[in-house]
Formats: sequence, C-alpha cells, structure tokens
Amino acid sequence: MKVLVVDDNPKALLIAKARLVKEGIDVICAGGGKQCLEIAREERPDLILLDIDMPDLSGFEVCNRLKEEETLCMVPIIFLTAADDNGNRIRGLDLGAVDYVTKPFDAFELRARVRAALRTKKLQDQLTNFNQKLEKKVEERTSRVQQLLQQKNAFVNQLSHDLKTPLTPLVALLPLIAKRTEDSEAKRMLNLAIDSVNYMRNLTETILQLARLNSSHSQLKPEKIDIAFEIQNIINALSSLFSERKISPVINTDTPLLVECDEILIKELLHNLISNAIKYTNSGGVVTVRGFCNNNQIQISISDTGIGMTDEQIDHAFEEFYKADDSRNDRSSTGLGLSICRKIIEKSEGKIQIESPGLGKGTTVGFSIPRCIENEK
Amino acid sequence: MNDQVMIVDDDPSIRETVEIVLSAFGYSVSVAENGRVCLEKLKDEFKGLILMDVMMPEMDGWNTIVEIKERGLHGDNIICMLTAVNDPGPKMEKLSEYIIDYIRKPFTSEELIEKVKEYLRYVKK
Repeated sequence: MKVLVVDDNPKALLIAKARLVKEGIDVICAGGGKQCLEIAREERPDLILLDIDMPDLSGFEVCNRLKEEETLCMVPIIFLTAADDNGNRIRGLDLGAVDYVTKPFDAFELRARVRAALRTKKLQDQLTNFNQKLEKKVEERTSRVQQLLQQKNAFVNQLSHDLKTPLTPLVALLPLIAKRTEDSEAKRMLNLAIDSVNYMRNLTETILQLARLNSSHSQLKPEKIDIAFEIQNIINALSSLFSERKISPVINTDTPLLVECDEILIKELLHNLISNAIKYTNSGGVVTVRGFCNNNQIQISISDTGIGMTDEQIDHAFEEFYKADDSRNDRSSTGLGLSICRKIIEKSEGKIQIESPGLGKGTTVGFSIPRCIENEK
Repeated sequence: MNDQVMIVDDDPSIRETVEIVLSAFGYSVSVAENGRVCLEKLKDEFKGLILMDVMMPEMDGWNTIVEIKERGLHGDNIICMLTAVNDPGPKMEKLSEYIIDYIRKPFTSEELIEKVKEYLRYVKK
C-alpha cells in the first residue's frame, strides 16, 4: 500500500515516514499543497496524510480539490492537526477526511490509524472492483437477452412468412372442392378442414403482427388522427356483424378526439376491442363506446352487456395466448388480440385496463393515450 | 386464344394453385417458374396480367420487373405482385408505375378471381 504524507515541515515528514516504513508501507512525501496534488495525480496513493497549515495551499483547499477530481476523490485523507485544535478536526471530517492524527505523533496511534484507514480503503477497492465486474456482467447478460429476443422475433417472423406459402393451396382450393362436392359426408369433412385452415391463417397473421410489435425495429408512422372518426368508421364496418348478432352499438364521444399515432395500429386496436365486445355479448345486448378528453389524455371506453370476466381472467387477459377457460377451444380466438392491443397502447404511450363487475355483468375495456396538441397556425 | 394471365412463382404449389383456380373460372394461364422464363414469355409476345411472386431465388420479383423495364418488354402488360409480407415497402414504391397492386398470400380463390377480373380489364386488347 502506498501512503502520501504532506507537510511543509521537513522534519515532520521525516518522522512520519520513519514511523510508517516500519509497517512495510510505501511512503511518498510532498513538501506542500501544490506538490501534493501533482504527486497524487501521478502516483494514485491509497491514503494521504495531510497537514492543514501550509503556506502555498492549505490542507483544506487541497482536500477540496482532491474531492473534485474523479480519479482522486475516493482516496482517503487523514488530517494532521494540532492537539488542541478541535474546530479544524471537525472541519476536516466535514470536508470528507476519514480521520485525523494529532501532532506531535504518537507512533502507535499513527500506525493504528493508518492501518485502519488502509483496511477500509482496501475493502472499498474490492467493493468497487466487484461492482464493476457485476455491472459488466449485467451489461453482457442484458445484451445477450436482447440479442436472443431479436433472434426470437426474427425466427417467428420468418416462420409466419414461410407458413403462408404452403397455406395458399389450402386456403384457395379447399373451398372450391367443398363447393363441387355433392357427398354430404365429404362436405362435412372438408368444412372441418376449412375451419382449421382459416384458424391457421388467422393465427399466422396475428403472430406476425405481434412479432412486428415486439420488434425494436418496427417503425411507427405517427400522424394526427381523429379517434372519434375512426370509431364511427369501425362501427360502420362492423354493422353487419352487429345486426347479425342483434347487438346495438351506442357511440357517445366528443369530436374531434385528436391523437398522434400510427393510423393502422389505432384502427387495429379499435377493431380488436369492438369486435371482442360483440363476440362476448349475447344477442339483444348493447356495446357502448365512449370517448372524451381529460387533462391532455384521450380516454376511450368500450363497454358491453356480455358475459363479463372474473378478476382472475382480468389478471391474465393481456398475456400472450391466454384464453379464458370457456373459449379455450374457440377457433375464432387466437388468445393474442388483447396482448396486441396492449402492445399498441404501450407504443402509443398510453394505458389500457379491463373492468368487469363479474361473470354475466358485462365488461369495460378502457384506454387512454396522450391528446395531440393542435398547433394554431 | 392467347393466355390472359401469367403466374411467375418458384413454388410449384402456388403455380398450380393459381392455374387451377383461374382455369376453373375460365381464364387461360401461362406458367413461369422464375424471372428468366417470364422474360422469355414476354419476348414471345405474351400480353396480359402478370402475377409476380416477390421472393424467388436468383432473380426476385423486383429485379425481374427492373429487367422487364430495361429490356422494354413491359408493353401494355399489367403486373400484380404476390407476396407473403404484409407491407411490400419501399421497393414496391420505387417500381410503383409498373405495379398495379399486390395480393397477399395466402389468398382465397375469391380474392384472386376478384383482382384478376378487375385488372384484366386494363389490359389493352
């Protein structure tokens, strides 16, 4: 270990050096404050014994400057003070010194205090070292995990694309065969196969969408859109589904509700949520879409009078591939719709949540996204 | 009668599917397994709608169109891409004056027929 002793009195330096060398400590001497700073920068001592009264720079000033330098601020400092100088001892400790030794030195006390300070310094160095190693490891792991996630996304992406070509003959030809078949048994088999193929088509498309949303490369094209207008459009587009299921849509929104989002994603989000509401509502029910502006947030809620959800179902609803028990074998559901909705909302810096008073009592999905502040031109 | 539609795809199942579906609806179909064959057929004065796969080995759909353009073989043909990606992106935009639309795989026979019917109308007789 290396100790730098700083004193303008050459005699004091000699004595201190003699006492410490006995301990097997490497001692360097500096005859003043300025020299102390120079040597400290060059030698990086493990401890500095610093006199207070020096003509060129006071010990306090030296201490201040050491604490400002990145490479030296952690070097412990012991002030050398006069026996009766309580004020300076306190000031020294307040400036960041670890200890003080009174002059003239008691040899045993000096060595004991230096040993104690060096022990602490050693532990501190070890700790810093461990910390750095740990940080490096965390960094390595994090980048590995990110790399793996990217590989996973690339894989899912590739797989979904590769599935599309072999699906084409099935999607295109099976319905043609079914149409030509007179045999009712064969027709039944074919319809089963067609349902499966359509489900696979849907699943491939949805997985691809999720992979795209998960990918850090996915590019959003934010533009100013009126959510109220989009809601109306989607309700119109779903009108045949509404009447087929005998469900009435109710729209209650302020207009316009301007947000700055990727248009395709917002349409996807609204379509998912509204068609979900229809799907889980019995004939004769009502789906209500509300929208208003609250404190720079656009808040949208989609409520239905449908089958409702338990708290447990709500807890898991946004997980990928989660399906509530009664829809586990439902071929019209991929279990990915809501997780896609959540991803879209996260990308749009918003929040989404589900509320339901319980089974049979309807569900409300609400989300909020930042309002687009209109620039007055 | 000359063929009305050319399907360019390296995957035989897609070529055959398109051929079967279009024939079933009364269209005559010419088949090319890659960009080179497509170029030859154009030289032999094919006139009609070209359904062009994007991802093909050696010469992909985009490069085939660039070749068609450079060799002056475009004529009055209409080109519609077949693609497994959802958004063909910037390459499609660059060649947009030569491409009328794209059809996403997998497609139903109705989707295919609807587009073929519409775009064949633009082919000058």
